[in-house]
Amino acid sequence: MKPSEIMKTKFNKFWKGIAVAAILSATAVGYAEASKLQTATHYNATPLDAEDQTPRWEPIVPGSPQDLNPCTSSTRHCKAVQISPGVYNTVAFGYL
Amino acid sequence: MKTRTYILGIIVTLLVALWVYTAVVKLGNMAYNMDTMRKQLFPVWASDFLAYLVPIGALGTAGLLLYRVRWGLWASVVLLSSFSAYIVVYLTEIYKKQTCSCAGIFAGVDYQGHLLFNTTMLCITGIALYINYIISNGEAENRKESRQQTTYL
Repeated sequence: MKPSEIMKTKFNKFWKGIAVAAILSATAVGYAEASKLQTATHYNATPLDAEDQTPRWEPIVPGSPQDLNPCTSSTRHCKAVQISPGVYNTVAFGYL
Repeated sequence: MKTRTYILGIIVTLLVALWVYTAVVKLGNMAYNMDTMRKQLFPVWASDFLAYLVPIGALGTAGLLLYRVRWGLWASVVLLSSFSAYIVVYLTEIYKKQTCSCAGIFAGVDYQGHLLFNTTMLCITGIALYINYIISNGEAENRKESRQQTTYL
């Protein structure tokens, strides 16, 4: 085999290996992220100007503004998923 | 010549990873995907259609990038442009605000961040198209030259 042909074959094998690694990594990370995604069931009804900013979780009504609107950039607890009575897992931060 | 090939290879790999990731995040949690897609400005039938079309389109683009680089790059341009146009529509508030139907890690990024990312990827794809054009033209000229030499021989 000519050196140029060897180079061509090696080069192709190299990029095939890189592509396979990229696909496998992307699949693994993508699936892990997909498993974490949850639709929020409650929103933080505490007024923005309240002294005590402890989240007061109210159920989200499907089709309501709380359901449709995104939470804009902030560290404020915005939307959560109810795990058990009184226990919530915040899934979105920001202002609603 | 080798540097250009490496750069093209890196960009294509990056795009393949991006599209595979996008597709897997959407297909891996169809309930969430359908729910967020139905909250967009499209009618329900269109939302359900797009909920499947986007990840399948992303997978198709990844496949094209592996087997037909130029077609894959152009498909990436179409997808990235479509997503960017949608974000611009949202930011200009032509329609009422809707929840973002974004992939995994990008769910924590705001719309401006998404637009910046998409624009960056679009520029990178443009660079890849240019490099691919140069490499393809160089090969074509070499083939033409070698054919001419053969003729003279």
